[in-house]
Amino acid sequence: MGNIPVKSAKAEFERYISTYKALSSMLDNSKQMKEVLSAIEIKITGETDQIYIKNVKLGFPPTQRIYLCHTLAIHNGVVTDPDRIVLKEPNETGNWSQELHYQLSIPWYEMRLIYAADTPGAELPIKTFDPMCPSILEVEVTIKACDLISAAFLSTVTPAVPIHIHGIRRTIRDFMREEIEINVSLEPDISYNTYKEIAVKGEREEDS
Amino acid sequence: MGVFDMGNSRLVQESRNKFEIYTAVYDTLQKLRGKQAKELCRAIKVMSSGETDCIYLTSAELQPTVTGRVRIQHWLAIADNIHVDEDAIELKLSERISLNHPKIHYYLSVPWMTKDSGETGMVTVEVLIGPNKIIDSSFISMVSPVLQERETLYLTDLDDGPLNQLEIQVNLEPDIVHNAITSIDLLNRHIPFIKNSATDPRRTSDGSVSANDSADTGSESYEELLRRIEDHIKIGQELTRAVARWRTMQKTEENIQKAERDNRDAWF
Repeated sequence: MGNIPVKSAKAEFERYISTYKALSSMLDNSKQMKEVLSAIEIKITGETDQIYIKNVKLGFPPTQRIYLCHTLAIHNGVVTDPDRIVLKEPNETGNWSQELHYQLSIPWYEMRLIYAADTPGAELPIKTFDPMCPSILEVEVTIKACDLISAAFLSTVTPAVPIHIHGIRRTIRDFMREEIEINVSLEPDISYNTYKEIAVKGEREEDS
Repeated sequence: MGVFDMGNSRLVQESRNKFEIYTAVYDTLQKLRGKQAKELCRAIKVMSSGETDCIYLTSAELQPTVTGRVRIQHWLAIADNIHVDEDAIELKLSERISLNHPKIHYYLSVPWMTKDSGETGMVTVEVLIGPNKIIDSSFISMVSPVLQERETLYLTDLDDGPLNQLEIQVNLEPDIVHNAITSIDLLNRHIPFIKNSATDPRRTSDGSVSANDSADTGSESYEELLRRIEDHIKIGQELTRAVARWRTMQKTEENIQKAERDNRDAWF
């Protein structure tokens, strides 16, 4: 199977947990915090007044995972489809064990209002949108190795959007705007090692 | 830049308690003995459909992983001439789950195609876990099956000849990620973003912003903000006037109708 031994996988996960703990206790150390902030670079392209990134947070939930939470502000008149949000890992840096790099692409459409004058018989304006002309908002995050985030840690995590848990959450703020939270989890990439296997469906005979 | 509590302390405590339930089940699974394992297996149903001689489910395992998660691993045997696109593998949750009777119930769809003839098909694996002595309802109601796309692997070291093996992993993820203990702002726009590079000195020519300058990125100038507020007030005043006009018209119409009714009553 090519698994690394459980012992070394355990050691790798311990490094993950110690990074998690060190980052979540950064509150007490402004110097460390500054260093971490300067190691994380965020580039945003394609924003407009109607759709833009409101904030990006580095979060540490009790579930022992490190998350980057991206909050997207969407004003009335813009349509997004959370199912079409794509997470990419452009591997363009040769030195990529030293940094983690991902890109979130959020396609969106602008709504158009068609008034009665344009559509005979219609009394009220009709909202519609043109799915053939999507625009894309992109968030690019680069995390570089620093004192608290080691290169070894970065090489054993993979960014992932856990869609079925609150990976993408839509909140209606008011009738004028809504917010979408996109959580990118830095998943430890070592979970193929297990302590135990419980067969719930055993080996079956080949169909004859 | 700032660090703050995302939820209130009660919520954080609640999610900590929930995660303790998760870890307790995880620990139990790790220490499971033969009889208990048998009991657990009876509570888990794995069904498959659409299998052929060329592609079929060989086994499914429940595993406590080193990274502190419980996962279900599915193994599919695949003949050499079968192609499976890993990106097309889908996990669907059953819609027939009630809050009173929580269950973990999902379908894993594996579309396939023969390399030579282009014949297509779909193997579906259905997994149903009901509450039992080890995985109780409180655990079931707080986890969500998540397909671990990155860990889908093709393995070719099967002893029995021309078959490859596909490994698909589904994690039972604790559904409580939102109540973070702490979070650090990497970028925060306190006021609405205005696309105007001239008013934002930190914005680069391509319109991008850097997190390190996050404190005020996307901020507008004071004059711009005032102008927007004035516009907002102007629109508000216009709306108020329009509503007042509409109310007056309504009132007048009601008065006319009332007068007509009174006249009619007086006539008869």
